[in-house]
Amino acid sequence: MKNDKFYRELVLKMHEVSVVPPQTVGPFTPVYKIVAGKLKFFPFKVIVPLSFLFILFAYLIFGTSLVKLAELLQAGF
Amino acid sequence: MLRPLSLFLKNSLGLIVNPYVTIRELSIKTENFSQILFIHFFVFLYFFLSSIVKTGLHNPYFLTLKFNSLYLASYFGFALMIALFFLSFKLLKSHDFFLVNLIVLWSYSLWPTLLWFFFTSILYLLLPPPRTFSYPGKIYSLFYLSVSLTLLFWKFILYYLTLRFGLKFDLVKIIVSSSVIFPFVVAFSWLMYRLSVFKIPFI
Repeated sequence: MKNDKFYRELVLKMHEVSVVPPQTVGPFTPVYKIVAGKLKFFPFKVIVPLSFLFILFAYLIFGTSLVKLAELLQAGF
Repeated sequence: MLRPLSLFLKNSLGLIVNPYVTIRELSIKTENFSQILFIHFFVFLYFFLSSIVKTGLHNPYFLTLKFNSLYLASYFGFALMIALFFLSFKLLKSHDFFLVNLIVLWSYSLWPTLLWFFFTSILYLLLPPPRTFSYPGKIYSLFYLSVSLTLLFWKFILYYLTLRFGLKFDLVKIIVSSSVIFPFVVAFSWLMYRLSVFKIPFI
């Protein structure tokens, strides 16, 4: 059985999956699992809308200061 | 050369589609270290082009000086991050420290940085500052900041995964090591700013 290619690949995959123990954060573990689960596969589906919302929210608070910030960052390359 | 190139393309795409599994695989399989040469080629290309944009071609002396200062400072930042990871490993007593693995992981983590610098430079050429407070000016600024924030979030995800799989840290250790790493990053950024090398550090 140990010479079986599929078996060897399965063992390697199991080893890879268990390379770090599951992360727990006490009572917040379910919340962590939900957030981490959303970010594990194609995180852009979460971070793109989140970034746009965050910037819109920041614009409501700081107003045109964000235009100055963009100008500052754009000269920062 | 084809095998490293295909690995580079596969892993680069993986960082977008499935960063968790991609970084986990990279932290175990050390085959084809040469795959990261491609991303370092893009770093070289970026600094070569940005030096031309900043100083122009009319003075080769200033062009060489600018390129060398930017390029060396970026690799100083890279080496600093690897050294800080090693310091975290020593302080927090993790599993074994594999330098090659960390170099591969952190090299791939340069993707968001590199994309932000390319994005900023191209927009700088297309629509140079200053920005106005008109509606197009505001919309453009908000769009630019949103894209920048998206890339920053992506960078944080890759940073977290580098520590998670590269050093086998749990969340508490990642927070503790970050409290050690971030002050050094701030000091590095301030130093680069004072030396007029980077306004935004290439890390």
